[in-house]
Amino acid sequence: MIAGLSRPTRNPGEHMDILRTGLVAGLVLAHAGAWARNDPLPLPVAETLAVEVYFDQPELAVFLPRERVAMATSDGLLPTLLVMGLESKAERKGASEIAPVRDRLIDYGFKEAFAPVLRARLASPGLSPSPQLTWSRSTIVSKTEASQMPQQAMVLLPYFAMDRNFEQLFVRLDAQLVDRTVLPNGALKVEERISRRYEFAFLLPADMEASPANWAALGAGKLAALLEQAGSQVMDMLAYDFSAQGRAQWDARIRGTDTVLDDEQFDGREERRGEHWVWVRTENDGVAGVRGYQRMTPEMITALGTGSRSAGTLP
Amino acid sequence: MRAASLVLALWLGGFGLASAEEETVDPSRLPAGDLSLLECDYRLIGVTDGRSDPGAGALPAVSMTFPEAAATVAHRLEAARWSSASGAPGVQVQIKRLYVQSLWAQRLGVAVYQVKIDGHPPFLVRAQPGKIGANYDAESAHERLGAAMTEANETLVGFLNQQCHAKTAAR
Repeated sequence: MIAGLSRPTRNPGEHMDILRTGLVAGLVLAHAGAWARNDPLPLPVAETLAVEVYFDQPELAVFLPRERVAMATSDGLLPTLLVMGLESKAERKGASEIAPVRDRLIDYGFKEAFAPVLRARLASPGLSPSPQLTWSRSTIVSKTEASQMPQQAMVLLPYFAMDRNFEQLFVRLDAQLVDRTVLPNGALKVEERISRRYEFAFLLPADMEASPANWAALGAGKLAALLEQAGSQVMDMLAYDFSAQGRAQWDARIRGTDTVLDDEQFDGREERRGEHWVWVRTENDGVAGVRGYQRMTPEMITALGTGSRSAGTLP
Repeated sequence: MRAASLVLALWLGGFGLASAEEETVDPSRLPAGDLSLLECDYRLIGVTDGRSDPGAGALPAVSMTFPEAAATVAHRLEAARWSSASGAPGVQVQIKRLYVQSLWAQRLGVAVYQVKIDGHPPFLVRAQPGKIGANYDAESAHERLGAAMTEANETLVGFLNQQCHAKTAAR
């Protein structure tokens, strides 16, 4: 299957055929590539691994579970549209309700905060001792750019978000190892070798209602500190998951297992534990990866500090 | 097939991952929006761009940039008829966010301004009008960005007019 499109843009003066980098198409390709699916993944993945980060998120997102829509697609177009309509309404409501938290973070730059952490943690024994890092806002590349892209790369997609019930504030990192081939017509063929999702979520203290108002009340400095810690955790997950120790867990059974942290139960097999936080491996199939949780305590919130102040909302 | 691709792209939950076209906002393609007139004297000191980059979000078929955002917002605000009197309270507007985003079946335009009125602490004005529809192209992105600016501008002028009424009542 071909990942590239051949659609000219409206940009004057240049006929630029637009190609997708394969972040989407990579999920549906099965053709063998340079990192053949059945060959063991080298350790490290590559001495000089090309790592491409794509980030274009203007504000804290509200993520809805996609399972309902994914299930409806198998029932036909009408059920799909019906479920999409319901989900759209919920997402619209979420975008409205999360506004106070977004306003608190109006002077916070996720990319500016996360990029140094990513750069510092990327070089690791399992991934690469010398990763070559690039950041892009858009996944769009010209034919010329496509021909110059590395044949093998790790594609990273970071997000910062909350869930629809505002119970969790988290950082997500989707990671794919991809093989690319530029076809004679200039289109880009992309094969996904490995796809993983890493997330670390903070939860409000158990006696505090999970509401946007309570998250916003933490203030800009504490929210930023939480996102920084979550970003650091997902980078640790990435490095760990591709280490020899992490790889040994990729095929171990998960289904039916759960993990207890401070009298609270989380789905998934325990992978690592610290003071008041835990990582669990969540899936063998589907979206495989590692998820971390930490329920905050009043003492922890106090210790986060206050950080900078941002502008208030409309008086 | 197109619907299936859209569903897949949306399922991935990304901002602009399925983008297939890059486009710069053309101010002349933004829909004109009505704006109330100011009911007392305020002076617009200026509009600045406080965004970290010119990115203006994405719909599944297009990724937008808006480098002329500050000049465009300033031009659209002029319709409120600002005072040129040096004694009128000054108003500074800084654009904090201006982007489009696609939800399941809606397109959302978002505009957030930080507003500073002489002698008062800054505050935020946020507008995020949504519209149901299946068009996710550059035209739709222009339409939503225009709607977001219109709503944010109207909210700002509405607030200033409330202050006008408060001043009148206090006399």
